[in-house]
Amino acid sequence: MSKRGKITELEIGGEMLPMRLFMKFTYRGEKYAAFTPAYRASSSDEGEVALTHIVSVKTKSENYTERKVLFAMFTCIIHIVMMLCALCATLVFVLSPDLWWVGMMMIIVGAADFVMLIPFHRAYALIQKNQKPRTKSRTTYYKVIPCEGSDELFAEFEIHFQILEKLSKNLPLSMLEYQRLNFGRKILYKTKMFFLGIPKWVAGKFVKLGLLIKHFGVSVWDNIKDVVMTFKNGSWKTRVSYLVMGFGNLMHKQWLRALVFFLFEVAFIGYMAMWGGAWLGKFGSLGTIATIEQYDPILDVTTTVHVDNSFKILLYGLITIFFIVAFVYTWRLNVKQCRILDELSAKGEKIKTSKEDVQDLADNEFHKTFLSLPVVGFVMFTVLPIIFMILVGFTSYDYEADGYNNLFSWVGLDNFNQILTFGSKLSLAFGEILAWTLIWAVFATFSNYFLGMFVAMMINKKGIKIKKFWRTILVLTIAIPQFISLLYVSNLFADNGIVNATLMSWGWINAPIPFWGDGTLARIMVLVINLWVGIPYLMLTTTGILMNIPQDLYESAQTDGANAFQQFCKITMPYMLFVTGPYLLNSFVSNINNFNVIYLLTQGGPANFAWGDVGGYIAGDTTILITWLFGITTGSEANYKMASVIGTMIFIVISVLSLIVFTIMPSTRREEDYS
Amino acid sequence: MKKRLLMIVMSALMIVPVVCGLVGCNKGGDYDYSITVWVGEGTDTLTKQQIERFNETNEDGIKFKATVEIVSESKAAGNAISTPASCADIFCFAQDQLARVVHSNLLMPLNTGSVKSITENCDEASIEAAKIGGTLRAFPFTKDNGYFMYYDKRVVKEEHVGSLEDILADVESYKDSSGKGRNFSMNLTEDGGSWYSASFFYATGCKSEWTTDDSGNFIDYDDTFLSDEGVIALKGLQKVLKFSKYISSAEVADLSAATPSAVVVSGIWGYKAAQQALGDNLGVAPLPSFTVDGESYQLVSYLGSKLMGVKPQSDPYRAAYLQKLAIFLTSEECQKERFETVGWGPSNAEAAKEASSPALDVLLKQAKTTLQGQYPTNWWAKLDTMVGNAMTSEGDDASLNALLTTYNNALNDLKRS
Repeated sequence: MSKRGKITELEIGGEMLPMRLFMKFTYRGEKYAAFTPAYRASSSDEGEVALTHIVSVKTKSENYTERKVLFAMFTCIIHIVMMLCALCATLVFVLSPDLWWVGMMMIIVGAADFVMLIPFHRAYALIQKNQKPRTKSRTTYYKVIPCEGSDELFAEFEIHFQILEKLSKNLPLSMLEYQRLNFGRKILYKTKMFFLGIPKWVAGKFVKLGLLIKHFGVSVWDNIKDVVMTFKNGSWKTRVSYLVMGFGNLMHKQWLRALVFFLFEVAFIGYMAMWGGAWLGKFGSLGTIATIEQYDPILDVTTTVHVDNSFKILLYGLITIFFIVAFVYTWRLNVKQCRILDELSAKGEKIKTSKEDVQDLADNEFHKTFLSLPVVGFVMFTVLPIIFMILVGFTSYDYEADGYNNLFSWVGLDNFNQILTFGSKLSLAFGEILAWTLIWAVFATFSNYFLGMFVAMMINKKGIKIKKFWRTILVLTIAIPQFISLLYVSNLFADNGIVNATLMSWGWINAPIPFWGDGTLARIMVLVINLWVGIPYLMLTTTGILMNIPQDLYESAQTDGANAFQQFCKITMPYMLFVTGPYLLNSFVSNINNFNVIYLLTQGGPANFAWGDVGGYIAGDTTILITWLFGITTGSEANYKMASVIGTMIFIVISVLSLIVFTIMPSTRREEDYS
Repeated sequence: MKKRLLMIVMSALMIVPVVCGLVGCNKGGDYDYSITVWVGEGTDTLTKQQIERFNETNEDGIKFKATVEIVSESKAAGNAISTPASCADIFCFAQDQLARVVHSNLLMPLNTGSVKSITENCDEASIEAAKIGGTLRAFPFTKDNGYFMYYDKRVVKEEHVGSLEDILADVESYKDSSGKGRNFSMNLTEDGGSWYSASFFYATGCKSEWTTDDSGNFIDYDDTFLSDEGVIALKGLQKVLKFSKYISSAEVADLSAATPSAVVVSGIWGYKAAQQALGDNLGVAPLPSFTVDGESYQLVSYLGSKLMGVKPQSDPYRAAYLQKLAIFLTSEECQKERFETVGWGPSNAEAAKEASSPALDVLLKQAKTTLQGQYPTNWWAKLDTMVGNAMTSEGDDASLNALLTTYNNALNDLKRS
C-alpha cells in the first residue's frame, strides 16, 4: 500500500521492504533503487540484491468521480467569491471613482472566474448523471525487477550516494559532481554554500588582518634588529652615519648619495626647528588663543591680532607628520646602505660610483626617475587632502568654530556618533538619503544603460531609414550644455511653468500638477529627465560596440534556431557587459555623486519638513548625499565637520560597492570567453 | 643648440610678465592703503566713485586704492564667517546677521567718532539695528528691508487689497480672455520663507525676542508662539498654504511667468522688474489682514536695515581710516545718491525725509511693521520647519498645537550659555 505519488515500500522477491532501506536515483532516464550502504553493512545476508530497477506500473484510478466532485465543489466556492468581487467592483466604480484601480483589479479577478467555470460545469454534469462518489482510495503498485550486478551501474550508484552524503554533510562538491545535480538541487546547493561560506569568509578576513598586523610587527621588529645589529657590527663610518646621514656614502666615495642624504637631513632638522616643531606641538590642541584684541587710546580704535589658526595647525601638523615619516624612512635607508657598503667593501667587491648612480637612474633604474615625481604629487595632492578631509570629521570645524576667529578642536567620534545614533533626526535623514541615493544610482544607471542600448539597437537595425537623422536628433540634447537644458526643464515643469499652463489652458487639469512639489513625483521626474539627458550618450557609446559584435555569432545562432530574445540574452548582453562593465561601474559611482541633474532640477527639494533642519539645512525628498553635503557646507551655517563625515561615508559606500562589483564583473575575466 | 636657445627664450618670455607683475605690485602708486569692499548689486560703480571722492576730500589726505566687489548683502555675512581670512575690509550685510558676525569676531566696537556720527544722523530704529548688547558695531546705511504686496490691478480689485480672503477670492475666480487663471505668490516654504511667514505670527500679537550678550551670544529669549495666538497665525498661514493657486516664491518675475501670479509679496528691490512686467496695471499695497473666527488680524512686515561693517585690522591707523571711510560712505550725501541710483531707502534721518518712491512709501507707511531684532540663525530654520509641516497638517487646534510645541521645544537648544 502506498500513498499517491510517493513510494513507501518496494516489493522485492515477493517481500515488501520499507523504502528507507533504499536510495532512489535516475540513470539514463531510468529509475533505480539500491540498498543504502548502511543497510548493506548491517545485513547479514550476503546475497541480498543490492541494486534494483524500478518499473512503476500505475493501476487505473478508481476514485475518479470522487475527485471530480470535490474539485467541482471547490470551484463553486471560488466562483461565488469571485462573483462577489465583481459586485464590489461595480459598487466601487459607482461610489468612489477615485479608487478606480481597485475596481480594475476586481474586474480582472471576475474575468478569471469565467475560466474557472469550465471545469465546474463538467463536474456538475457528472453529478447530474448521479454517479455516486466512491470512498476507496487509490493504490499504486510498483513492479521491481532485480538487476544483474552491472559494474557500471554500481559505480554510478556509488557516486550518487557520495553526492548525497556530501550534500547532507554540507561538504563542497567537485565540478563533475555538481553537474550531476538537477536544476533545483543546483540552486539549493549554491545558496546553501553561499550562506555556509559567510562565517568562513569573515573569519578569513580576520585571519588575513591578523597576518597583516603580524607581518607588519615582524617587519618593524626586523628593521629595529637590523638597525641595532648594524650599529654593533658596523664600521665607525657607519656609526657616524647614524647621526650624520650620508657619512658612510661619503667615505665610500658616493658623494652624490651622501649629498642627497645630508641635504635631506639638514632640511628636515631646519624645518622641524623653524616651523615643524611648533605645528606639531599645537597639533594636539589645534590652538589655544585665536585673537588678541588691543585698544589704541590715541587713535581710539580696537585692533585685532590673529595668533593661532586651527585650520593651518591641522594642515601643517599633518604635513609635518608626513615629513617625519619620510625622514624616518630615509634615515633607515641610509643605515641600510651603510651596512651594504660595509659588506661590499669587506668582500672587496666594487662599489658604485656617483657617475654610475646617475647612469643607472637613466637606464636600469629609470622607473625610479620616472615615477618619483608622480608619487610625490600623488602623496601631496591626493593622499594628504583625503586624510586632511577625513580628520576634519573628528574636529568641531563649522561656521562658528572657523579656526581663524574662533578655534576648533578635536572631538573624537562625536560627529560619527551623531549620524549613526539610531533614532536621532540626523541618522534618520542620513538613512533615508542614503537609501534614495542608492535607489537613484541603480535606476539612473540601468535605465539609461538598457534604454540607451535599446535605442542604439533600434537605430542600427536593418531596414531603419535615415539613421543619421535619428542619431542627430538624439545628439542634439548633448549639444546644449546640461547646465542650461536642466535649468530650463526645471522651469518648464514648475507650478507656474509652461507645461502646467498649457495643460490648464486646454482644460485637462484644474490645478497645476506639483511636479517638483510632490516627493514621489519629483523622484520619478528626475529619473525620467535623467533618461532624456543620458540616453544619447549611451546610444553613442553602444553603437560602436554593437557594430563590433561578430556577425557570424548571430548567424550561427539563427541556424540553431535561436529567437531574437535568446540572441540578445546569450550574445549581445554578455558581450556588452564584458566591454562596458567598467563603464557601468564608473557610471554607477558618478550617479551616486550626480550633483548636476539633482541640484539643477530640484535643488534637492521638495523640502522634507518631517526630518526638520539637519545640519542647519532642510533636506528634501530628492536630496542625494552629495547635494546634502553641498547644502550643509554652503548654507548660512556651514557645517564642515558633518560634511566631512558624510564625505567619509560616501567614500566607504562607493569603495565597498566598487570592490564588490569589480570582483564579479565579467571584464576582469578572460576575454576569450566572450569573443 | 637651437633647441636650447629656444628654451631659454621661452623661459625668459614666461618670466617677463611675472617680474612685471611684481614690479607693478610694488609700485602701489600714490595710494596709502589697498582695500577690498563688498557691496550689493548695482552699487559697485557708485561706491567706487564715492571712495574716489573720499580720497579727494578727506582732511587727513588718506588715499585708498579700493577693489570693489559685488557680494549680495544676504550672502556677505555668511561668506565673511565661513572664510574670515578672505573677508573684505568693508562689507555690507543684512541686519539680521549682525549677532553672528559679531560672534565670529568680525566686528570690533566702533570708535567715538563713528558712534557720534551714527547717533547724530540716523533714526532710532537704524541705530538699534546696529547694536549688539548695547554697543554699536556697524554702520547702518538703509532702512527699507521689509516686504509688501505687488498686485495686478486687473485681477485684484482696489477695494479688496485690505483683506487676504478677498484677494484670494479675486485670484481664484479670475480668468483672462484666453481662459488662463492667475496665481498667488508668497514665499512661505522655500529657502528664506520664514522671513515672510513670521508676519502671520506678529499679526496675531505673538512675539519672539532674543537677547544677546556683548559678544553676540544668544543668552535668553521671550517667545510666545506657543499660544492661542500662535494657533490663529497657523490657521491664517494655512489659508495661503492650502490655496489652490498658491506659489511659494518671492520672485517678482512670477508676475510674467507662464501662469502669471496676480499677487507677489516681495520687497523694494523688485519694484523695477514689477513695473516692467505689469506697467500701468501694477498696484503696490501694504500687506492685507486675514480673518480667523470673525476676528481680523493685520499682517506685519519686518523693517530692517542694511549695515556696513569694518573687518578687524591689525594696524591701528588703517583701522581708524577705514572707519572714517565707512562714516563717509554712510553719510547723508552718499545715502541720497544710493537712493537716486538704486532706490534704497536711507537710514539717515535727513536723507530719508527727501527720499520718496511709490514702493518705499508703501513700505514705510504700512499700518504695522515690526523692527527686526537679532535671531539665532537656526531659529529661521525652526520656523521654516513648522510652517512647512503646517502645509500638510489637518488644521485642527490639537495638531497645530503639536506643531507649535515641537517648535517651542527646539528653542532652548538655540540658546548659548
